[in-house]
Amino acid sequence: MTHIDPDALVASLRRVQTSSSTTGIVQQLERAVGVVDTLFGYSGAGLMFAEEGKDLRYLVTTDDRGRSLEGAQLHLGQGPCVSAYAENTAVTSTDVQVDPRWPKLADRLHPEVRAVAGVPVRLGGDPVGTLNVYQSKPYEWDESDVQALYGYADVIEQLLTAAMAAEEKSALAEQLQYALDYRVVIERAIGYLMGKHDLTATQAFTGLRKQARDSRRRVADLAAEVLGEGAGETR
Amino acid sequence: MTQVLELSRLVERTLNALADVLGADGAALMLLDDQNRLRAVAGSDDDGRRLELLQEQIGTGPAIESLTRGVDVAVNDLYAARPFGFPGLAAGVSGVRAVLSVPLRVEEQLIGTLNFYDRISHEWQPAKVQTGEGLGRLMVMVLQTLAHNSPISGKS
Repeated sequence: MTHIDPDALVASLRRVQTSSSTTGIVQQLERAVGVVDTLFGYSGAGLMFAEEGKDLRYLVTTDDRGRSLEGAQLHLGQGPCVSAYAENTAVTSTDVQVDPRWPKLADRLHPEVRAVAGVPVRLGGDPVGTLNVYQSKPYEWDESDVQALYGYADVIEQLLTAAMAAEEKSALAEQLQYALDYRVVIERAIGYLMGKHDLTATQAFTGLRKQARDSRRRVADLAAEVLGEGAGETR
Repeated sequence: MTQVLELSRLVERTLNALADVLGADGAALMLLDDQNRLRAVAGSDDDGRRLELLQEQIGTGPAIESLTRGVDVAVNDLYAARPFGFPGLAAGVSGVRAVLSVPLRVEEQLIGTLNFYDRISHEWQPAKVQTGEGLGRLMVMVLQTLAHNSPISGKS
């Protein structure tokens, strides 16, 4: 039995529908990870997804240091996030740079990625990805950290489920896949802007995202435009 | 009907998750409906449900104050005399002592309040209030995603 008034809920959702513009699930997930990052107060957070039978990849990450977690784990096929996904349970590391479970990871990680915690994000009970946070210094994760991370992962699951309310699971998977695919364009644009304006990756991405928001465009579209201009310059 | 039940379950699971993250005993939701009426929508348990329904009936309480003033309202003990507590409300929800109400906004517009509660009285620390605000933003994301992906047409 729920403790909900369904009529009041539907009438209130109708108000929300009329007072807000449609926002894609990927953008909502980006915002959600941003909130998790802010509330945890750690160095960074990210959300990884795995297409069925494929590798775990970042859909959202709050900074480029955390992004190295993906590259290292993709290359080696192992790491804390891979384990959290594969074993469908929380995995923590006090200092992933010296963790004997993944001895080769350190060579490929950003040096400021130290303590890592990941929990599975599930849909219908099955893991579809992981929510991860990291710290730039070694840190002993305690039970309350893990429980809070599980709580956030639960909210993200509800976001995904809400997005699926009117769509098939395959349609949601398509949206997520689209975001994963277009991330490549975004990363290429970041690389281009870094070279052209002597920026760090974070500065380039923040600038790109701000400009996209200000002009009400998607980051991927703006990134493609930036790359188009870049190609024009070199011709 | 099944779809509405699924929406309800999703909102209840979200409330439970948000209460867990904050380390509160429960969470409840009051929202403005499409007729601009403040409705007691959901609670994570019986106490949460009663806390909101009673406020809807008597027209006073932390959720209503939060919505009226558009600010966080942290009540350390509902039994405290006004203006610190809401003794009239406390008498009807004996299982709830401390309440934190945070306003919910969609694109700058107030749409309701998210309320956390504990069964013992205590002071709400600023860090916890700040976390409550962030969790309110997550609640809004879930509501927005539901609103734009659910078959909810029609008038109430």
